[in-house]
Order: sequence, then C-alpha cells, then structure tokens
Amino acid sequence: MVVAKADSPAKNEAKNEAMMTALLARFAKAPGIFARYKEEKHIALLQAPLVNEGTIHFAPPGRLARHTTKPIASSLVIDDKKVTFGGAEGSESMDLGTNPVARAFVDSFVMLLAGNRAGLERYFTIKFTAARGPKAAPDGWHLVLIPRTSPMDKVIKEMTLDGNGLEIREMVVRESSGDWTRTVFSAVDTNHPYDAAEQARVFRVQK
Amino acid sequence: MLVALSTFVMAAAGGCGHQSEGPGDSRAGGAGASPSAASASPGILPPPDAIPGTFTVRQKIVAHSAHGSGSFEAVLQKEPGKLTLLGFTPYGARAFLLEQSAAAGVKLTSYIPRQLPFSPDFILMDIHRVLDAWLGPPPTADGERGGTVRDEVVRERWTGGHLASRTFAAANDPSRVTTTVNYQGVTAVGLPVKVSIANARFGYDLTIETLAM
Repeated sequence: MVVAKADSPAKNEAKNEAMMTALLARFAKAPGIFARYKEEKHIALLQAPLVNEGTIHFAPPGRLARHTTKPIASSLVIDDKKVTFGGAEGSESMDLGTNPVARAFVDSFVMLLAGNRAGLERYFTIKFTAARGPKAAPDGWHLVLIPRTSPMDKVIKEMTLDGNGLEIREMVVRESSGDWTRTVFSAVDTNHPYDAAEQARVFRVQK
Repeated sequence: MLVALSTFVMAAAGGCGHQSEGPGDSRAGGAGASPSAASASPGILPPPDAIPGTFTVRQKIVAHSAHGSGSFEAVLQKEPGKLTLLGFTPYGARAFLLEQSAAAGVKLTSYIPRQLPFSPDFILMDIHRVLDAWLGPPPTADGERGGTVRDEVVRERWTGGHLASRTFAAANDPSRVTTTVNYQGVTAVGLPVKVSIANARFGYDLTIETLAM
C-alpha cells in the first residue's frame, strides 16, 4: 500500500496563495464574462425557497448586469457608482454611495471578477483554498469572504464561492438573519468580449 | 395603501440595512400617504384564519394613485393562526415583515430606515378583502350574491365556479362602492393568478400577480 505524503500546512498555504494570485491575475485579464444563473433564496420564516433564473454579464472594469428572466423579468445594472433596476413598469437609478451595504456587496463581486485583490481585502477577510483530493478538479478552488467593515458585517455573515479556473460555479451568501442564498452558474463563458453594440444592449434595464 | 408601501420599499434603495420593530400602528405621514388615510381606520381586522387554507405564494404588486406609482415583490404566507407578508427591496433583500397572528396581533418589522406612513392594518385589510370567505363557502351555482358583514355590504359575482369580482360598500350607503376587487385565473394552490383592487375611498389601484416560488 502506498500512502501519499500530505503537504505541510505551510506548504499548503503557499500553494493556496500562489493559486489565488494566479487566479485573480487571470480574472484581471478576462475580456468579459457571461453566465446563466439559478438562485435559491432560503428565508428562515418561509416554508419554500424563492427561485430566480436569468443571466449575468460582466465587462471590465466595472460593468455588471443581472437580468432575471424567471419567474418575472427584471434587471439590475451596475455601472461604476450607479445602480439601475427595473423592468416592464420602468426603471430607477441610485448612487451606490448612498447605500454602503449594497455598495460593498456589489463591489465584492465586481472586484473578484476584475481580479482586484486589494479591493477585496479592503472589505473582506479572505480564505482561499485549492481543491484537494482524488476527485478535485485540477483548477478547482473554494473562496470564503467574511465582511470586515460595518455595516456590511452586520448584514452578511459570509460569502463562499466555488469554481474551477475562471469558471465560478456556485456562490452562497449567508446573512446574519439566518437567510441564505445559493446561486449556481452554468454556461459560463469567461472569454466573452462585449463590443460597443452588445454593451449598449446588455448593460441596460430590459423592458 | 400599497402605493405608499411601494414608495416605502423603493426607499430601501437609498438606505442602509437595519432592523426596527414597532407595534401595529406606525403612522408617520410620509411620502405617498393619503391625508385621510393617516387618521382613518380600516375597521376591525378579521383573524388570520378568516383566509381559508395554508399557502406560501410569491407576488408582484403594482400600485398607482394620484401620489405616484411603484411596484415591489413580496411573499404572502398563510399558516394556521398566522398571516405573513414579507416585502423585498429591488435587490431582493428584506424590506419589511408584516405578521398577523391570532396570539400576538399585528407586528411590523422594518429592515429599512423608514417609517411606514400609515397603519399596517390597512395592508392586512386589503389582503383580507381579497382572500377571506366573506360570504361563506363558494356557491353551488354561478351568479351574484350579497350580504352584510359587520358594517359593510359585500357583493360577489361567480363565473365558472370561481370568484370573478367582489365589492364592498358601507352598510349605511350601500350604493357607493368603496372597494372593488376583480379576479383572474386560479393558481395550483387555489389563489387567483391576478387580482386588481380599486379603492375609491383612498384613491388607489393595485394589481397583484401571483408568481411561481
């Protein structure tokens, strides 16, 4: 019987650090990201989860659109410091600076996709581990983001993301209230450049 | 009432997350409140179990009045002895939680830094007006029926075995309808797919669409 020799904790930590640095560098070079998503929001006092489906679009450095297609169409578009949301009845915009929780939450996702490590570290304690074990994907990773700034730390307990290379597969957000949301991504395209025409079409509220 | 509530929910866009709890009445006369509503009473609330069955449904509410318009998503849940309405911000975070229970009465919890500009009893009364069995079990045949419940005259029109419309008028002035409810379709849990409410007393219209969870 051959017993594999486990790496020392220090060696594992060094591997994790190297992998995270490489991953964020790859994110920083990605021309744009597209994915489909299915989100299940589990609310402690409700007897069934809320399910949303749609698409996510990211164009660096900071344009993010989330278009929900089921059960009802709505859009959330983030463009630098402004967020616009709405649907068939119209749309509204707000300055993200007026809502620190929304700002931090949006920034965290955008900063990850943009490979902005310094930005992530400003808001979160980061725990990154490479996937291990015989069934682990070669580029698999697990990232835990724990808010370190108020008021986000009062609302969100932790965010965990799992992926393989640039492909984020799943995100779980646990709130202090006990509510938690699991988002599964599919059809992920991490090499999706958005030209001017597509940006104009995608990064706006869909009516 | 839900017009002001939609204003209240949309205000969440500009506020930070926090939680406050208050007693059933939190009138503050904020944006979108009808002046008459601030001092009015919706009447005696029926108990939660006046709404038949148990269910959890997701809804989209679109509201219009002379004060403005707006929309928001919510979940309405009925359990034995308890009615719960959970409203969401445009981001999907909790905006407010309104609970009516047989044991503890009405409780409003706000997760946004705003006071609801009227008593939450008005919201619950709208829900009861739509979903209670005001005139008893469904009739055996289509047609119209009516009756007086407490101090109001309630009239219903049934077609195809389903409730099509319901009106409310003060018993001392039955010709003047104060609230009209129209129903469309039936979901798997027996609730209407779409409801429209016209409140002539406070001058607002609502459309409530039941969505998949």
